[in-house]
Amino acid sequence: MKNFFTLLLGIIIGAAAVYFFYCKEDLENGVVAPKGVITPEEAKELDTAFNSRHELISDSIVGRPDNRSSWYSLSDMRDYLDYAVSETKDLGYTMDGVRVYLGAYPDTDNEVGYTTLFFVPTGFLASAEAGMNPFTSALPPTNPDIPGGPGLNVGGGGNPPSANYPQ
Amino acid sequence: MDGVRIYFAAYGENETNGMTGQATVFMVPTGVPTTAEASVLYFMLPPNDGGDILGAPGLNRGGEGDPPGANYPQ
Repeated sequence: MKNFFTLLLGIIIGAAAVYFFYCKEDLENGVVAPKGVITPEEAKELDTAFNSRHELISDSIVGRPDNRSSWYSLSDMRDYLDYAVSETKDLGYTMDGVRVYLGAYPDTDNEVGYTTLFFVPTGFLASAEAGMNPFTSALPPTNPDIPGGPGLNVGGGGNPPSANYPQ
Repeated sequence: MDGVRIYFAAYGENETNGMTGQATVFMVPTGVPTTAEASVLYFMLPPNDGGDILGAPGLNRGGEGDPPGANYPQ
């Protein structure tokens, strides 16, 4: 029995060591899990729940299996965020996030445009930050789109466009 | 990891976040196994994004439109 507890204690100490090691490493790398992290299972649920809409849009509007995902390279994604922060700063805004819109490419003579999505920066006038009074800061944040802020589109479509998660 | 893929999605009927049935997007990381990167075959294939990395965490729960039906710009 004593051996069993020694073993159990060993496992607990080992697990704790691994846990703290990885946490420490994450802190050193500055890696933080953002709000909204989901598991692959949750991703599948969200993807599946869109199936009926995808079918409706494909059949009734697009007339072919519509696009249902967009891909961006890691470098474009990072470059876009840096670029948007810089450009909106020049416009006098403090960028606080991005909003993703569902869009659609224009129709051609032959076919209806695929669904797409695009990013725009959101934020507030930098001058408003200094003048924030208790009354306005008590209001819920609305994260308005920054007028004139650069957008990002032209993500790669799904492969094929109608592919479910995971591709 | 070589990029992210964003999926058009919808909250299911079992959602407890008050957004049942609303359209949303979520993103997942894409990439190729680091061992495959070195293989000759990989370089012979046409350039494309890597597949979704299986088992990797996704990102969802972005704030919705205000109101959800709002056009650009909000």
